[in-house]
Amino acid sequence: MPVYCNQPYINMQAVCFGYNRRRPPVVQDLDLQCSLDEWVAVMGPNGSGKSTMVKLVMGVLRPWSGQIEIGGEPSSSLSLGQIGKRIGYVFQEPERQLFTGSVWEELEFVWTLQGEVGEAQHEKVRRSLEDFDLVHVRDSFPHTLSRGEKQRLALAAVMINEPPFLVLDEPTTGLDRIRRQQLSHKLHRLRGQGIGAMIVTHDRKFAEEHTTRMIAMDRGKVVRGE
Amino acid sequence: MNRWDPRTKLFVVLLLSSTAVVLDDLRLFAVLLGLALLVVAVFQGDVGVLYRLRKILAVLFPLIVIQSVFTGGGEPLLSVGGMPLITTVGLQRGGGLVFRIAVIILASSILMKEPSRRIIQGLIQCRIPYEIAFMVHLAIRFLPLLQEELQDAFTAVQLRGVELDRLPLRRRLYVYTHLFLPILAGVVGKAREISTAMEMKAFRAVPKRTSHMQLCFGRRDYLAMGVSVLLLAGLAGMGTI
Ligand SMILES: Nc1ncnc2c1ncn2[C@@H]1O[C@H](COP(=O)(O)OP(=O)(O)O)[C@@H](O)[C@H]1O
Ligand SMILES: [Mg+2]
Repeated sequence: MPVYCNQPYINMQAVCFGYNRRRPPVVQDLDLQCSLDEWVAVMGPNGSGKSTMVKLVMGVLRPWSGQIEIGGEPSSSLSLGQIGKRIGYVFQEPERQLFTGSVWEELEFVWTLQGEVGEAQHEKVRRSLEDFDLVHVRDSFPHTLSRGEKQRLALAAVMINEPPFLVLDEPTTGLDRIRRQQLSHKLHRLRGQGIGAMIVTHDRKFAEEHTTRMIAMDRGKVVRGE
Repeated sequence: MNRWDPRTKLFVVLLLSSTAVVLDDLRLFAVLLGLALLVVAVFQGDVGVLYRLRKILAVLFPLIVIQSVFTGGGEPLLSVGGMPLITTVGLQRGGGLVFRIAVIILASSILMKEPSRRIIQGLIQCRIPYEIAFMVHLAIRFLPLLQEELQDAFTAVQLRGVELDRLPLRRRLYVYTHLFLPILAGVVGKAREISTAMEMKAFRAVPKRTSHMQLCFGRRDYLAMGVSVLLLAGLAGMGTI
């Protein structure tokens, strides 16, 4: 994959989107650029369109108008699978992205599907279990895990594809202090590996700790960018 | 009075669904679909549910192939390497199932806008116990939720790098079966939350609930029920000749 250092990796220009054509748009005239070496916090009140913006970036929703580019390519020309390899996305409700019978299977899922599970893949899964503190639950059913574990599993599962950029939607909601620290620790390590990220959060302290830039959204617009 | 009695709606839904289940002739299905659309128009249902639930329906389409491969007989319509992939029998059985579910969803849509209090009251006046009436109402309200979770699961699996469209059929089925897992887990979780909430509100604390609302059949309710019985009985009759 080519290297985009100073160019924005995610580039949204004049993006408009709404869930209902007869109502005013939820995201209006949104401009947002993130480069691969950045950690960006997106803040703003509930309902201000943060999750919607993230889903637009991920190609889950298609904008009414405006341009969205990922790594210089228009996102409309990329399939969800291709976008998933470019950006890892952890949902606001991580249990909605887990669908196998055990933690181990979850991490191996895509390879199993493609019929290419070998020793190399097993090794990657083992390393991922260690990296994300999931060794003790490797045979558990994902939906019985705690919220923190589900989230780390979702993170581990999207990082298996080794995307260079990560999007987390409200990762600290519902985590106690210890789980929050565990998450912080993982994120620090990912940042050390040179991965970029966008983190949607209400948690100012968490944002200050992890990000290099903060932007605020209100009613579908960026109201304050630094 | 410009409102249909919810019992009339329940009756028509039940009748239409049973006809859809009983009927076994692809040509008559077209007539049944016409009647279902008529019902939607008369009782202000919502054709849009079919579009919103298209992914559930799409999941069922491979059944046509499964039925073709695993039930012998019928004319092969499409064969690959000598193995019949789609047969007339498979099309009839699998396609029939998809169609039945579509008709049932369509029919149920006329209940979605009905206030839950009226549905529950309607069921109670048909001497159905309150608890069961309440569960039926919950099931109707769960439909949109299911749809949202299914959509999320579809998105998530594709974002993992799975190109669903390019996957061979066998693998695609494997994915589909997995997608129901988060949905099932989600629904079970929500059901548990609701039952806890209900117990905290002392649901069942009083054995019999009394209600000020009494539903009354109007003349057109009787008429609508009579007409639907005649039409659907006629259709079912034609199917067995
Ligand atoms: N699936 C949906 N259908 C219709 N409206 C939605 C949907 N999801 C979100 N919205 C609406 O869009 C607005 C922005 O929501 P969202 O992006 O989730 O905000 P945030 O993540 O900042 O809390 C809200 O008004 C919300 O009600
Ligand atoms: Mg949100």
